[in-house]
Amino acid sequence: MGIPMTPLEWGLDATVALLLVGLAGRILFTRDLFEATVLFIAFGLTLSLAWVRLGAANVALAEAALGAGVTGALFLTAFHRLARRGLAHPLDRQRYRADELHDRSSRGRADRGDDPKPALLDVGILHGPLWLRASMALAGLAVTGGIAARLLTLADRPPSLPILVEAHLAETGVSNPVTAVLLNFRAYDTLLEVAVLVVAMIAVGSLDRGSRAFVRDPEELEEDPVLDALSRLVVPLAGVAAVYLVWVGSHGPGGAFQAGALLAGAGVLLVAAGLMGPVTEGAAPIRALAVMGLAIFIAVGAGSMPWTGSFLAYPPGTEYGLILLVEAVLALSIAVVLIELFVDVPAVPHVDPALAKVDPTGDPLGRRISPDGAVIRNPDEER
Amino acid sequence: MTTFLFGLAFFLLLNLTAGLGRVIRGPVAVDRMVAAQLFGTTGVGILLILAEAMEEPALRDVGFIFALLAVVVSVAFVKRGWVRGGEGEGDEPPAEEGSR
Repeated sequence: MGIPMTPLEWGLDATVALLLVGLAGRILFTRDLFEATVLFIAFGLTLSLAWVRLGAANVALAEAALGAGVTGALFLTAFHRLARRGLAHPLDRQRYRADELHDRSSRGRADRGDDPKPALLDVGILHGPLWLRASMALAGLAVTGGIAARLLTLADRPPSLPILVEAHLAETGVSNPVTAVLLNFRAYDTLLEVAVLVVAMIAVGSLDRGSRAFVRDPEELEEDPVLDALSRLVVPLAGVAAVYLVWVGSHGPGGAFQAGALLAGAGVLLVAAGLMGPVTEGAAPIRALAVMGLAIFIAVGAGSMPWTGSFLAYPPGTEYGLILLVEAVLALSIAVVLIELFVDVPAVPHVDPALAKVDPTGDPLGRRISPDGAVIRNPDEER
Repeated sequence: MTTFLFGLAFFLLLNLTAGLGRVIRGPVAVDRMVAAQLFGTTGVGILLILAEAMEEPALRDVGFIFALLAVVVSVAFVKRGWVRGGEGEGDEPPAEEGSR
């Protein structure tokens, strides 16, 4: 933005920046895993606002589609799984760790809730020796300081890449520079990214072929008229919006990834509403859909070689049509892969029966913890 | 006019920051979730205002996607994150809340 900023804009940007850092810190340091999950959803929104203020509407759109749809649901599901295994609450995590070590003496101590750690930092490094932690902190500070120092002394030179893209934009068949880079100039990168997504899906799918967390349980699936009506309203809208995003991607912010993420969000809704069953169980059409984007991309890239002589170079005149075709199929494949990543998780291997009925998002087992980490009320001790 | 719009967006952002207190303090999961949903609604408002103020129509699309998908997280929460029938007294989430 070449225009000088007004104090209001400055305040807006500063607040967004502070909010981002504050949210990130709170997510890392809170003891409550559910709070971290919800804050992460808020973090996605704030990040989207930051991209907007940086003039990157494309990225803001991707963040909106991914953050509001699949990621939030994925994190909530992960929380649910941890809670069912007794790992969500700080006290439960300590007891679990003690159980893992078969150390009954420390289990008694852990039950009293001494020293609960921040949920996401509840890992080995916090228990490491002081010299290790101090040197890691110093190394982190040195890297950050180095980057900051370099940034501050950087010559004020306009970046040359946008000029290059701008100069050749007319040859790409699309007028959105981001799509031009993703599907023409650097189509190879995009191709490999899509391959990574497919490989991730195969990896998750092969974790455990036994039981699936999202296999429909007819008993659990009670009639839910609200959810039913809601998904019948939202899902078609999301479909139309996804088509729009693919089309608009050729000349403005939008594209296959955003559309795919949006469709995946709609898919998550269908799965949650029970309108879409376990799609994994040997469903060849689903797997075909998932790899179709990659296949078409490679086919288009290789098929135009006789005319252009190089892989992934579109013959002149066909760029717009081919890019739109690749984008449309990619959007479908990305959606299927993301939904599969969400659906295809193995069922919770071990459920503590005591935890099956309690609300894991509040205070499991009815315990209360004061802000300084002490247990105010512990039903275990009352027994 | 632009000044007014930026002022409005800034005000909404401050609102949103204040709402963060509810997410952090809770105390019950539903409090956090509803606050986060409010976050989303305010965020869409900010995006729509910024679309006008920054003369960037694409931001309306961003707001639209957020509005469309806001319900997904609510549904995932009700279906996955929230186990009904908690034992702890006072932890029982009110039945009518949960979705926007």
